[in-house]
Amino acid sequence: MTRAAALRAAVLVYLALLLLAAVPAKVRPGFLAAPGALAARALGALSISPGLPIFSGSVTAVHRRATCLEVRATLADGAAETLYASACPPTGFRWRIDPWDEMVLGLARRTRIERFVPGAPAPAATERWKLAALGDFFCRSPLAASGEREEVSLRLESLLVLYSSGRHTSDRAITCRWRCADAPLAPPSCERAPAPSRPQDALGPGTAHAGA
Amino acid sequence: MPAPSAGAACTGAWAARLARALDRFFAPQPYAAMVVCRFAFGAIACGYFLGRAGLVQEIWGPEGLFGAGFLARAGVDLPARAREAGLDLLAHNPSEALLWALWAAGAVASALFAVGAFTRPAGVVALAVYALFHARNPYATAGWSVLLKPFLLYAILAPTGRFGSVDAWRRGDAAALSDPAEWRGPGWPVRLLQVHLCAMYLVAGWSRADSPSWWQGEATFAAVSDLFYARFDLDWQAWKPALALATWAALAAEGLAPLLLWVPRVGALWALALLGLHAGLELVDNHGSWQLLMGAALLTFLPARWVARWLPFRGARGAAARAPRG
Repeated sequence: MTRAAALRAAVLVYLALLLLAAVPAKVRPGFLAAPGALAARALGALSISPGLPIFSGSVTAVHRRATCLEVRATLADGAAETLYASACPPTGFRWRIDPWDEMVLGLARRTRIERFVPGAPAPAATERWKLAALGDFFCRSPLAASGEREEVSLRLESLLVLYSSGRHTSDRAITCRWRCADAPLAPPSCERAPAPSRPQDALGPGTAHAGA
Repeated sequence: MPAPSAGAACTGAWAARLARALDRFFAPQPYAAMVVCRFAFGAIACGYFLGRAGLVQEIWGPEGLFGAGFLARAGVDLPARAREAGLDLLAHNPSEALLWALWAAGAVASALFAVGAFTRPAGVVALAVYALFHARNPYATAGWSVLLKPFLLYAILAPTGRFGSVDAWRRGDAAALSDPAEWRGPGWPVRLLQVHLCAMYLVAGWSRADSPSWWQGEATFAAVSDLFYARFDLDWQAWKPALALATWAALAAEGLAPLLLWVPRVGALWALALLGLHAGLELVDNHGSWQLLMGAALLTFLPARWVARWLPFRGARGAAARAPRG
């Protein structure tokens, strides 16, 4: 086999792996199940992804407008300090996503924090891992704050917009708390804010809380 | 000697047809678009590093998120994300100085690659550092950075430094700095990029196949309403019918791209439509460097003379006009 032929063969094999891995397992015909899984493993070993399921969300009727995230620490002397707060909602023209927002807010959104509330489906290991990393960073990293921290709380609330009317609403915020003296992988205690008794008054005219 | 059977003849014809198709597939390709890709991918990698200059330790450092300090305290040895496990060599790095050195190397190498200076070595260093940093904290970006790794690799494998580059200028190669429509190089790296681009649209298309948000025409409304991505806070209610049309157009354009980009004549028009889609999204939404990444790769489906027209190099027509007469 010549060098050119070997190169062609290698390229064709790689392209076949890419296309096989691009077809999701649930729609692969039976005879492609094993080669498809093999292709995904082979590319995964090289840390190559065939693509991204970008904007694949299935939500209708109510859409997210903004994510409000606030991380606060209680210091050893009892003082409280805000370690991170996203603009909520952000205003004005934004020529790019602020890299720190992209990191912290993006990671918080990917924790699927609603699964940490008692009674919700148990979070997956990857989601526990993400939330543990966030909690550890704000509890213990010298880059997040100076000095010792007793407790860190993370409050996440989504501002929503109704597709039918454009009405603005919000979900009930979730707050998670870490005792910084606990083991780094100890799960935080999380709770949802109680439903307001008069939702129409809570956020002002034209707004309401979603039940969530 | 017996005459060959009809079946054998048919098989032979198919084999010949397949061989011709493969020859076409691997034939040398125009390189104007690949030079744009080199610049775009290098610039994106450079922006990835420089754009986070004030957050290097927070994002990738030992005391940063998913850092060595966290792993030591937790007493576990896990990568930030399983998919990048093999390349997460920085997870246990205890040195801030080493991190700064690597960050600087990544930023400089990707800038050199973009302009085509020491193109291949610079590209290799840029890709290696980028892969390490991406594996160390894949959550530093909203997801757009995943495809940069393979796209950068294809631009390194292609001899893009031959044309429109500092390397060509240092060699004194005037032909490589003019008439971009005539630049040609090996076809296989171009094909790697093109097929991977199609795989990307395939993954996106499949993921939308059973998404009510797309079929009911709400996906674009959701995209522009989410202020994490949106460039400005606008009431999109009055625009809902147009956004629904845009949603279905995007569904068709991206979903059919893996097939139609390869159809002669239709492919170039389809690439233009997709470029319009990415430009429109860029206008209203922030998705990091996603649109630039996809847009640059899409240029490989356009005729070389179209791409060449936009490059800051003298074209054949311009050169002829400037040449002395007689």
